[in-house]
This record gives sequence, structure tokens and C-alpha cells, in this order.
Amino acid sequence: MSTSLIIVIVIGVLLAGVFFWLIASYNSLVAVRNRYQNAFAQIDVQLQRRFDLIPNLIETVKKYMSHERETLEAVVAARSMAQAGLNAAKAQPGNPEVMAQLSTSEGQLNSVLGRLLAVAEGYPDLKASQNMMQLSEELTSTENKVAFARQGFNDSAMIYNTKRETFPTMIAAGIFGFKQASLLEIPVEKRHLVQEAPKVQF
Amino acid sequence: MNDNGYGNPQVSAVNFFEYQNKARRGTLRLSILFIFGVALTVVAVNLLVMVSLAFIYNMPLEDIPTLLIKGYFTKALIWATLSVLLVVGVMSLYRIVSLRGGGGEIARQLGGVQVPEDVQEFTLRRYRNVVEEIAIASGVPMPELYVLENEPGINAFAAGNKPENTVIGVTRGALNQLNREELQAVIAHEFSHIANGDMRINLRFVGIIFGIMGLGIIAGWIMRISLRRGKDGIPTLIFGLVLLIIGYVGVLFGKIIKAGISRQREYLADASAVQFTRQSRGLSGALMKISGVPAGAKLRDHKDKAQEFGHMLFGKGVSSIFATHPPMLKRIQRLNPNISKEDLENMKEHWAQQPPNGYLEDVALGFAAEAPSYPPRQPAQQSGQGQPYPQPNQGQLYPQPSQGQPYPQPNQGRPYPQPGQGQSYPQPSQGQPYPQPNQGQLYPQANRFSNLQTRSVNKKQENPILTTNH
Repeated sequence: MSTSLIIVIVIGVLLAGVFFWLIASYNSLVAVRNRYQNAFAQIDVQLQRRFDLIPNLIETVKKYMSHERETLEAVVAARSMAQAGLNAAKAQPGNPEVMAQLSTSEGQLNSVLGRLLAVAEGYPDLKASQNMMQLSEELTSTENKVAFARQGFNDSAMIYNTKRETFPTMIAAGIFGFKQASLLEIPVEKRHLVQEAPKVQF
Repeated sequence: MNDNGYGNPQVSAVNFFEYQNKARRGTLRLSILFIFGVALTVVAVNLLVMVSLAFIYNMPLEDIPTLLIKGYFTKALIWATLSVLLVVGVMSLYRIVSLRGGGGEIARQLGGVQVPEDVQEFTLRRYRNVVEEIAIASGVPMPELYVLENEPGINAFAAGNKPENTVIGVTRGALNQLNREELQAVIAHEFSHIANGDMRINLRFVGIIFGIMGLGIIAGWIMRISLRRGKDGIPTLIFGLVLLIIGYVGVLFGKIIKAGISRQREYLADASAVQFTRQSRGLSGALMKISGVPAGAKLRDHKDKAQEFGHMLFGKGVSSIFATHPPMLKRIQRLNPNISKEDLENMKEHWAQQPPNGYLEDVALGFAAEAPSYPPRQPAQQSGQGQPYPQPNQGQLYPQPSQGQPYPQPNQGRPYPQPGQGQSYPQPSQGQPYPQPNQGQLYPQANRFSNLQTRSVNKKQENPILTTNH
């Protein structure tokens, strides 16, 4: 009688332990998953910020370099293309084709922006203007933010994946069906675009 | 520097995770040691109680083990253990709660001024931007920003024990003298203290050490009461004295272990800063500037507070077993093993004549547009109350500490070194015997610093020797 009671109690305690452990594992997995999903949203936010800066840049630059109409128009065109790419990516996040489209238009925008900044080197008045100084700081910062958002996404996706794949949380991840997060990579065929992109001359 | 057990002794953009794990293991080891130390204190008090009881009941000391096994002391020991834990626990909690203020409070005590979100002044704007960048890289919510306007030294801190009330502060000296990359690295270092929960860890240890000190305080009371009782009080006086010694030995070891943990967290934060920025040049550059510039990492105002909050500052010079930070050179060499003591000395001499200017370095590196009229804001002459943002004082270029402090002003009366006008980069004045084997290079050493620096500097100076390099 008393031994069976003890066995029942022991089993009950063990079951309760497993139950609470499962809850804890599930919650921690959700926490890291939300973190990497939020990091993904950051990339969009920062790309948009970058697009929003470009009209300011054009406005500032226009006063000084009216002769460079072509370059300016190329920037405006590349910006609206990249914006369209971003909108498409927002509508279907994770769709590989749309993501590839976005990275292509991003690369083009980078390249024409690089050209614009290179041309601006030839205008000392422009370079010395307070506006340009601040814009250049904002552009640098936004570039960094885009890069850091990607990097932050990859870092947090890695933490999530490690948690998902290591013992003992992998058991809970298996039970609740947590899927692997895929890291952001630049596809091989697009790599040349990124490598060529920023051409700033001195 | 090959004592880390890895093939590559350098923290770089590829192996920072290894270094983070190493620092975390170090923290764990020391924490276990700390718990062990607290347990040892309890054991020591128990021994004291047993010896005292033996004394009271006139039992020979060698009988203690047998009496212990027979269970004579059990009740007394349980009481002793419980009261020690109670004293330590209550005192620790009291201390932790009293130190629990938000980070903003600490920042203001150090003389910090909050930086508003829509700030326009250039260096502050850049500071805000850099913090936003690292917030994104680290996934930590944006903290409140403070600047210590009156401090010409290079330092930074993160304060607050919860993500909601965390603040980050930097000195004016850091904003003016660090370039963008270096400022970013310093901020990333502070962010990793937030991300790794270091302030909370530190708070816990401070609390427990204070708790152990509580034993000493109680011992003090016992001794005072015993003294009043004259001859009859001698036994309790001895009891109190031994308890006092146990308490203070506990505090001493606690402090040494806490400092060890603090140093591990610094290495962890350095490695995490490399994770967030994916480069180690900025951090090693910032550390070099701290150890090289005349004002160093010192906080000129609020010295007492700086002492109290020393553990959460970015840089600190003293090296001892009580030091909260590892030695500067060791930190630098973990990031860039090519830097030697002599290099640091060289830079020190160089910066003594020409303090570094972060903005001009950015221009040289191509990170910022040139703006010859750019006037960096200066720390005010005295602690300026009432005036939240001191006006940039024209004509005066470098942080000016209070009178009597030997702070070199190499370019009094000289106009601001202007980029693109022949002399774009900090250069020792002509005719001065400044030991610089490789002219035109930012750091006096053929190290792995990027070509970008040499190239851009070289371009501006039109140095014929260096052009052949490319």
C-alpha cells in the first residue's frame, strides 16, 4: 500500500517536472524565435529609412550640381525600383524570387549612389555645406543600420537554431514543431552586384 | 598572449564566439568559487560556535569531533548556520534594493546631460546614430543617452539593471577624439554589458559582499558590548574578534573574486563588441587612444562617484587583483597582437603634441564629408550648472581641463587643422624629433590596419613614398 503510494507520488512529481520543463523550453524557444523575427522586420525598416533619405540627398545635391542631371535621374529611378522591390518583399516575405529581386534592385541603387557621391567629390562647395555633412553622416549611419540589421538577424537566427538543435531543448522543439530559421545569404549569382556596389573614389 | 588555448590568440571578426564562451566559462568558474567562499564563511562560523561551546562547558577541544558525531552540536550549528544566512541574506537584499535605482539617476550623478532624440549638433547626432546602429546589431532596445559634457577624457558607461531603465553615457572627450569606428566599438562594448546582464551580476555580488560584511558589523557590536562588561566580557570579546576576522576575510576574498569576474565580463564585452561591429580595429584604436591621450580615461569631475561606479566604465587604468578591468595593453593585444608597449609609448608622445580628432580621421577614412568649418563642442571650463549644452567655443579646439593640470595645447592660436589643405592629418610639427619611421601612417607601425587608412591619408598628403605602395 505505502510503497505503491510512494511510487505514484514519485511518478507524479517526475511528470510535473517534465511538464514544467516543457513549458519553460517552449517559452524560451518562442522568445528567441520572436527575437529573430523582429530582427527580420528591422531590415525592412532600415531599408525604408534609406529610401526616405534619398530625396533629401537629391534636394541638397541639386543646388550645387545641376549639370549632373543624368546621374541624379539615375538615382531617382534606382530608388523607385528598390522601393518597389521592398514593397513586393514586404507582401511576400521569405519568397526567394522576390528576395532576389530586392537584392538586385538594392545593388543597383548602391551602385548609382556610389557614382553620385563620387561625382560630388568634384564640388567643393557641396562637400563643405553643413547639409551635405549631416546627410553624409545619416547615409553612413543608415548603411550601417541596414548591414547591422542583416547581421543581427543572422546572429539571432543562429541563436534560435542552436537552441532548437541542442539537447535538451531539441526535444521540446520537436514536439512543438519549431522550424529551422534560414540565414540571409547573398545568392552566388548576385554576389558580383554587391561586390561592385560602393565605389567611392578619393 | 598565447595562454588562451586557441591557435589564434587574436579576437577577430571570425572567432569572437570562442572568446565569449571562454569569458563565460571564466565567470562560471569564479561564481562557483564565490559560492564556495560563502559556504566556507558559514563553516568558519560553525567552527567558532563549536569551539566557544566547548569552552563554555569546559570540554577538551580534541573531543569536539566525537561530540559532533554524537549530535551534541547539531541544534547549535543549525541555529548558527541559519543566523549567518539570515544576516547575509537580509543585508544583501537591503543593499541590492538600495542600489537599484535607474541608470538615469547614476548618469546625472556623474554629471551627465541627456541627449534628446532630435538633437542636431553634429557630434551628438553621430553619437545617437551610432547607438541606434548598435541597438539594431545587438537586438537590445534603445537606451537613454547621456553625455558628460565636462569630461575631456575618453570614457563611457552603461548603467541600470533592467533593459527598460538602462542608459548609456559617453564623455565629451570620447565624442571629439574617437573616430566613428572607434566610437561605435566603445558603444558596442557598453551594449554587451547590457545584453549580457553584467550590471545585474555586479549588483548581486556587491549585495552579497555587503551581506558578508554584515557579519563583521555584528561582530563589532558584540565586541563593544563585551568591552563595557570589563573582565567578564573577555570571552565574548574574543568571540567577536574571531567573527570580525571571519567577516573581513570573507569580504576580502569576495572582493577579489568579484574583481576577477568583472575582468572576465570586460573581456566578454570586448569580444561581444567585435560581434556587433564585426571588426576589431575600432575597439583596439579606442583603447589605444584611451591609454595614449593625456586625459586618458579619467573622469575629472565627480571623482568620488567615478570611484563608486568604476566597474561600469569603459576603461580604467589601475592594475591589481582588485582591478575591475584587465590591463589596457592586454586588452589591446587580444584585439591586435601586433601592438607592442613601444607603439603605445610612441602614440602617447604623438598625441601629447597633437590630440587625436575623430572627425578629421573620419574625413581621412572617407566616412564623412569634409567640412572645414566644423567646430567640435568643448567641455566647459567648470562644471556648468544650468547650461545644459555648452556652446561650442570658437577658436578653442581641444578639451581644456582645469588650470594646473598639465594638458598640452600644441596648436594654440593655430587654426584648426584643415582637411585637404596640405596638412590634413595630425602631424608632429616640423623640426621636432618625433620618432616616426613611417610618415603618413596613422599608427606608427606596420600592422594590419587597413590599406584604406594609408591610402586616404596618403592621397591627402601627396606623400611620394607611400604612393609607390599601391
